[in-house]
Formats: sequence, structure tokens, C-alpha cells
Amino acid sequence: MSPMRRTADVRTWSDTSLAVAVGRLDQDALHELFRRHGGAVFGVARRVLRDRSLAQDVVQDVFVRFWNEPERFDPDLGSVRAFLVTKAHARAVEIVRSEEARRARQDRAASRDPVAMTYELEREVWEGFVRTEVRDALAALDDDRRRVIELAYFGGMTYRAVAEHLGLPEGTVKSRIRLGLRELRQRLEAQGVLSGSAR
Amino acid sequence: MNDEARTHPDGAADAEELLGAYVLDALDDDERERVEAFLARDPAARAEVARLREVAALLAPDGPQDEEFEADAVWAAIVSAVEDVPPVDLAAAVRARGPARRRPWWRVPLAAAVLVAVATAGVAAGMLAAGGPGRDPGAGDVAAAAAEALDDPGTVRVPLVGDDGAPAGTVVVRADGTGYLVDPALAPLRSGRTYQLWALGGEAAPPVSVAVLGARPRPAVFRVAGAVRGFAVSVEDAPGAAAPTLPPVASGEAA
Repeated sequence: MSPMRRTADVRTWSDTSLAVAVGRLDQDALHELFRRHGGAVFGVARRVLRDRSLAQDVVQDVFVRFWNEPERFDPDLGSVRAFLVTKAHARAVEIVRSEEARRARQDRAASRDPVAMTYELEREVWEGFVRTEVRDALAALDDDRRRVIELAYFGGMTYRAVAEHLGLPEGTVKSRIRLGLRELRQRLEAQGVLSGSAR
Repeated sequence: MNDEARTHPDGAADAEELLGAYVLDALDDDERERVEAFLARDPAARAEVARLREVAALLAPDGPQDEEFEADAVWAAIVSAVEDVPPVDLAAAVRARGPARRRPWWRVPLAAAVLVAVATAGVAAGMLAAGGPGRDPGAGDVAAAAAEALDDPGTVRVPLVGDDGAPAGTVVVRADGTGYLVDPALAPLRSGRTYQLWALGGEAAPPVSVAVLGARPRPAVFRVAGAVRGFAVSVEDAPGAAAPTLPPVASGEAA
């Protein structure tokens, strides 16, 4: 089979079929998943890390780990995209919270408040990059709920750190995160972006 | 709904309240472990996490910011990494372990050793669940299902024997290709290492990863298809390897 024919084949496969093929050491399948979701994986890592090079390292790490351990993807726990993005976000947050990265960030940020800068930057890029439906759903969220989600997800902060940063009770922050995500889910379902099923 | 955190004597309500923060990786390590323990016993909570993860995944942009993404260079690095794993000839390594075995599994005629034969040239496999926390909704039943398979006379059993000759567990495979690791007896590993179970096909065929078992293996379920004549366990760096990098610490042949 020619390489071109093979590429055409995998482009018709579902994400789940590609994930199964990765389990059989099918590199074309991994490449197709990278082609479909590499941008999103990079996007979330880039937002959290604010460093293109580090974000690309995260992308590499996520896909190499998926190649080495495809069994960790469980279709009952979400889509392939959600799995890859979740792994990228977790890895990016791990880097942000590491002492070494903290020092590097402090060096770059000099005396500026990194938390405030993160929030401002994310506000700037938010409008330009998030898909219209998601942006609309976010815009409809209560400001308080949206802000805690932004700080936790793109700032790489724990909910406790968010609470401290905003001067709110921890319980309030964790409730707002959960309720905000639920509300987003409902809005995105209503817009047809997400189905009403568990996945 | 009350916008404040709730508390509950058994901590379940509190863990439930943390699900949103869990999805956003906004928990401390101890809280994350507590939530994962809660998830292991609450299917409804797992379903909610799956739903919320889809929302979080949509927050990841893949628009104009892609211009910054050097996709070709990153893909080249990925290819280099996945092809850079030095494969070990696991079958040869098992052969070299010495004469302790009753009958070397690698000399068993392939036709007699076939456990499952389907329309695939090689061996395909994948882990379905492990009997520990944080896996799929059926994880709690893995040990029971494995024990049931062990009692089923229609299954093929592959006893695993460790380097020291001691029993290391049993692999049981049903006719439909569902396999179980039963009663794994493997010493706990230090952090950063994991046991990995491999299916062995023909002598020239590379081993196929069946399951990454973790540092403290528990009963696991997997699916395998193709001509399989044995299984082996190696120790790898977490989170596992695409091909064995070290000789096996336990192995077994189809009887």
C-alpha cells in the first residue's frame, strides 16, 4: 500500500479507531491524531505556560506518552481530544508549579505580578482564539464564575490559590468552578456544540 | 443551589464538590488522591467528570494561535522519541534465562500454542481495566471476573514464573480474546517504575504490550487477538514502553 493511500485511509477513521490503532503501534494513526488535535494540545499548553518552546515540549510529551501507554485512554471517560488536552493541561500545570519553572517565570516577569499578568494576558487572547460558540457560552457566564475558571485553567492555579488571590472563601471558589463548568456544559449542549450524552 | 461548599460526615459530598476543580487540575496532590478514591467508587461522579472534561477540552484553542505551533518540527521530535526505544528480543531473553523451565515455551509449536486466532497477522492487544482505583466503571469487578475466568474450564491458562522460579501470577484468556491477569505476585517497585505485560506471538514477531500494570500490580483485564503463545512481564520506566527495554522478570507459555 502506498503511503498516500494509507494517509487517505486513516483520515477517514474515527478518533476512537485511531486510538485503537495506536495501541497496535500504528504510527500513521498517531500522526493523524496529532494532525487533528496537536493544535488544541499546543493551545492549552501555550496558554498555561506562556512559552512556545515549553508548550511544544508538552505536545511532544503528551503524544509520546500516548504512544507508549494507549491503554490509559478509556472511551468511557471522554473523547480522545478531551484525553489529550487533559493530559497536556495537567503536564503544563505541573511545569508551572515546579520550582524551576517558577524561578524562570519570575526572572522573565521581573517584579510584575505573574498572577495578574496571566489573567490580563488570557483576557486578551481569549476573545481571539476561542471558537464562537464557546466564547458565547463563556460570555453568558456570570463574571464571578468565569473568572475563577480562567484563573484555575489558564493560570494553572489551585482553587485555594484562586481563593487567596480573589479574597474569597475556598468553598465559594470550588463551588463556582463546578457550577460554572456545569453551566457551560448546559449552554454548549443547547447550542449543539456538545451532545447531551455522557460524552 | 447553594453556592457554598457542603460538608458531609463521610467526605463524599466534599469530594463531589471538588469535581470541577479536579477537572481543571486545580487541586493539591492530597485532594486529588481523595477525589480519585471517590471516583473509583462512584459511577455518577465519573460520568460527571467525563462531561466536564469535554467542556474543558473545548476551552483549548486551535485557531490563529496555531501559527506559533511548529507542527512539523514537533512531529519529527515525536517520531524520533517513539522510534528511539531500544527494543529487547524478549523471546531470546526468556530463552537465555536457563533450564529451570519444564518445557521452553518458545519451542512449543505455534499451532498448538495458539490461544486466540482472528483475522490478524500479528498480535493486537489493549488493556481494558485494572482492579485498582481510578479506572473504568467496571474496575471493581475485575478481580471477581478474573477469578470466574480462572474457574472456567474453557479458558486457556498461562502460569507466569518469576526469575526465581516462584509463581508470579496467572494469565487466563477466554475464547473471545478477553484476558485476565490473576493473582499477580510481583514485588512492589520504586516510584517511577512499572511492570508491563507483553503478549508473545511468533518467534520473529515483536512482543505486544498487553497492559501496564503499575508498581504494585493488581488483577487486570485486557483483550488480545492473534496467535499468542505466551506472556512475559518486564520492568519499565513509568509510564511504560512501546517495546521491552529490559529482559523479563516473569514469563509463561501456553500449556
